[in-house]
Amino acid sequence: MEQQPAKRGIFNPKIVAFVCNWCSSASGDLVGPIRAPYRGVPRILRVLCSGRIMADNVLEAMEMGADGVFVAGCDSYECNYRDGNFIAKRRMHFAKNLLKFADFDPGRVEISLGFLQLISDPLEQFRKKILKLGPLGQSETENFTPEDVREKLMMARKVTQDPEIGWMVGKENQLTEIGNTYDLKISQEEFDEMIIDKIKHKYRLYAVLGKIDKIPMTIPEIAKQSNFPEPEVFNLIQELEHSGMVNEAGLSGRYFQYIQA
Amino acid sequence: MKTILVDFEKCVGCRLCERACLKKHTPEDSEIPHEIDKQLSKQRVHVELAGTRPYPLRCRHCDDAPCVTACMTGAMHFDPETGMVNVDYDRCIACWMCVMNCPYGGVLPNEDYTKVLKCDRCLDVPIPACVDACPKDALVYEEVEMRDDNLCVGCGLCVEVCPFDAITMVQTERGLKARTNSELCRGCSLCSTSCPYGAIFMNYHTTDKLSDQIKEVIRSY
Repeated sequence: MEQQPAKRGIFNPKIVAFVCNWCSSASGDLVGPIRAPYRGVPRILRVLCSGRIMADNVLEAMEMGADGVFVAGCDSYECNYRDGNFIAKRRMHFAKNLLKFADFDPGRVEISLGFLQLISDPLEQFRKKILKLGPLGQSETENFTPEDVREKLMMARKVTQDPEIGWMVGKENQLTEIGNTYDLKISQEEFDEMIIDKIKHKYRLYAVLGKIDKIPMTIPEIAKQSNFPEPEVFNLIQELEHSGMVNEAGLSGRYFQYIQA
Repeated sequence: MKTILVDFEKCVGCRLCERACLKKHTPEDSEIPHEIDKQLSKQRVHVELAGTRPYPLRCRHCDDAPCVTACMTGAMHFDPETGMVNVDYDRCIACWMCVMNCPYGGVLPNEDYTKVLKCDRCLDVPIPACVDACPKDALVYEEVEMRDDNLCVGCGLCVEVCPFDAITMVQTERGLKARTNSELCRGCSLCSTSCPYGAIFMNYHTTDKLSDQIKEVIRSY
């Protein structure tokens, strides 16, 4: 392993690599004896199956300061747990969609299945890509302050933890490849559109919920603060109240006040 | 899958598990020594210091066990029925390859250096002797995967995901609920990550532990 000392002022990307226990971890063990070039030393975390990694874990790593997240799993039909690698692939596809929606570069997440070469090669390529992009929130397309980055990632994590989103990501395989109870299938593009619509909706929902987490507010007040039209805020509040996330907190003039449950 | 789990923070280092293990694996008529010699005794669990904290070392019955790979006579073998790693004492020739290869220190030579000793999980009794003896509940014999019936809505995502067909839907008083066949479960945690409601969680490799790992890994830069 070739380790370069970090020089001051030079960007050393922080990369977290989740590797599967059964193939990529063994491939990582081979790097040492073969003495393959391996710069920057990405931090490797071993998990039992790449399907263990959720989109939430990826966003969490970024929230803690990682510039890029790499997931390595087994070859297509060689997963030790039948289809864990496909599950991982779908989840990372969702994470990319979510990052794109939050104005981050989707290239910061990469999944590699069944590489025949050493793990150091794809990791090296990924590191070069991240070096080109720069630190999180400071690439050409992203231009955010650290506070902005944290806020955006927190919002994205709230969306991934939503049960409805989790259910859609879990059902993706059945809806696009097997078909539902009536043998109806939808194409991948259609599904992507659906999930982006859902993400958009959930973003608005949690934006409204974020306004009333401490102080009770009426619907016109929320609409003024969040720049959404009043009828939409009304619909969102109704949905939140229906799922038990918002309670009524008395009257203010002729309007009801709402607060997070 | 049921297995012996250790709560590191609860262990006080009383070494009662060692004594219970020794008692379980000694014939009834022979005497148990008052002082346990760490090197020359028959117990299969050893309490050692990890930094400043005590920690009971025991065999983890790995899926892909290094001791099984290393054994040259085939004495050490994985038993798919019980999911345990066992020793065939007729075949063991005391070469100590397994002792060298075990990453957890769970396999050790016996008192006269003729055979290896390792945990056999006391299959003839319902609770293993070391777990039964632990006064602080640091050693527990539990399911690897736990579920909360109050959160389960019976959507069936975990049934689709499970690669070993260990999960089935069962009609209960409160509607359809998922149930795990613990003999088939191998603890891969695919079900816990795919549950949208957080009703399934792993007892050992929890999401909290994974996030702690991520935190430490990033701090090391």
